[in-house]
Amino acid sequence: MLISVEAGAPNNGKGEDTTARVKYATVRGRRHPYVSAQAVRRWIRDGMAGRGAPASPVTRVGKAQNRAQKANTDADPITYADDDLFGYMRAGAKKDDAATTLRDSPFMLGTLMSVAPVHPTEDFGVMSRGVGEPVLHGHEFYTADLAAPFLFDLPRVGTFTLPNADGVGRPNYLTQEQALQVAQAAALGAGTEVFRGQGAVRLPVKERRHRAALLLEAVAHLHGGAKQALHYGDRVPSLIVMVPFKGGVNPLAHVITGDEGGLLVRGDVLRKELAAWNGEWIPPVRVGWRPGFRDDLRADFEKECAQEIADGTIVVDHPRTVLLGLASEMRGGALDAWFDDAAQ
Amino acid sequence: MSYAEPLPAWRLTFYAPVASFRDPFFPGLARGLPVPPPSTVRGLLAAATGAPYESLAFGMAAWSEGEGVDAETYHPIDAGGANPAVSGRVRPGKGGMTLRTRPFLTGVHLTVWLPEEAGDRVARAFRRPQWGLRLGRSQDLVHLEERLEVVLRPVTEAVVGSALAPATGHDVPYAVTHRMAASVSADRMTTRWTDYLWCDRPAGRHPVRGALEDGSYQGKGQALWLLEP
Repeated sequence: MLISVEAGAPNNGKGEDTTARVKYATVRGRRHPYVSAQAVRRWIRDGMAGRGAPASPVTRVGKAQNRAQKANTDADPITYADDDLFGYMRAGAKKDDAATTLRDSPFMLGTLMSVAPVHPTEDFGVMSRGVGEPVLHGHEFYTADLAAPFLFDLPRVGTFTLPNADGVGRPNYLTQEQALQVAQAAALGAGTEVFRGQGAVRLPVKERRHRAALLLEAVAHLHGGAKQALHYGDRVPSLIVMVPFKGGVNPLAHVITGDEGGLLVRGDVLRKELAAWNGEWIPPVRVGWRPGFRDDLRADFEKECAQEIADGTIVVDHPRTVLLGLASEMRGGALDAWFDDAAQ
Repeated sequence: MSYAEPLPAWRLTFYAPVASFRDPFFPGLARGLPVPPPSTVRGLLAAATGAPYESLAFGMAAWSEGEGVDAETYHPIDAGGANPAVSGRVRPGKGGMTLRTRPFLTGVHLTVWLPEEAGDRVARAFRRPQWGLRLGRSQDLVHLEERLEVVLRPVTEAVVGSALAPATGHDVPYAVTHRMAASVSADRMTTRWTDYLWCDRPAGRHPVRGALEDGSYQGKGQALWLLEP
């Protein structure tokens, strides 16, 4: 996915004195600003909560449970979609020798790194309203196209592996106490099965496709980040390329890249990758491209892939249309096959 | 081990736009390693095959284009529930939300050589990996760029490049020893530490000990050492 930042500073690093610095990485001596994966995951998570997925609420225990009164949320992926999709690590207390439970995120998102080197602008600010001595402060902002790969492991949504005899450190597992919640999950209609060689509890596919669709809808409404008042900007991806794959590879590494001249969208790379991975993916490739965003590149891309667009192997539309369309297809149950590993 | 005759192998090339490898010998602070530890690469191989553990010997070389330092907010979930997470957020305070720096690498290039039948089995699994491929944490997605069959030959002199070598592998004067995890047991309880030699600038032709060469690599060949778990 690609997010286009126009004179913004959506993610800032450690400030120096009175100047707020944007986050950047140094590649071959040049600065590439970035937005950390953690930040974007937070935006998506908040978007999901705003769209009606209950975020992990707080439950209170007290005298009635014969325990000291305290409020507590469980890292509970069975009940809460955000714990399920974004994972967590819940460290057990050393003194109790409690088990650490973790869930590895089925939604993996890379760092949104600028495709081309950018020199951030340092803005000099003065606060002088009604004070004798003005207060000086500065901040950096930049204009850049930030791109990141992402991978959404649909079979793992709503699938929770159980501990076996040596089931420590598996990608996610349930402790004894959480295994008790499996009873609750079973009440939701979850069944136990073997998932990728491990015993697992699975929520019914209706709930699983609902959660996956929620995430796509949150990306379609993406907003968030720092400096909103000063650098208001839209954060919905300007360009997004999605292709359903049967295995855990991501072939789109070099489809959205950049060079000294800025952004490159490589239709030829996409065609070659799709040919190389023939049989491992399910058409169509969904491309969301916002109208007006780099129309020159879009014309080149559509010319390069004219054949595929004509026969429907590649679909190009507005990112929101593409994401929301995919989400509603999921909710309708047409894509339920995606929620299980493909037969070898 | 010594191989008198050529060894068939698969060569896999990976690219990660961003990845970070924390050095576990520095508890409480994040110091980054300049190369992925062999145990991390083993995890990548196991992600493809779906097995809990892959114990084959493989050769590897890695380098990165750039680096940076990220500021990360940690939200530790206390198992005792003393400081609850509300919608993924934890209050700041002792044992609560905290800010830490985390060094990372950009443009990480990793080449892995998988020899013999075991390597053949693992390399074929990359056609349809069981789990999502990544090099490190869930945000460090990795892309498979190339997968082809090569022949390895034992040599006494070769281009060392950015290969990871055992401590006795070569005498490049500016090579640095990095102590890294060779493997982590399936139950995560025991880690085997090994010293590896690595050059932060690709080294040229040098005498090598116990090495194999992939003569087809980038036109000038590349030394590699089979690393045991």
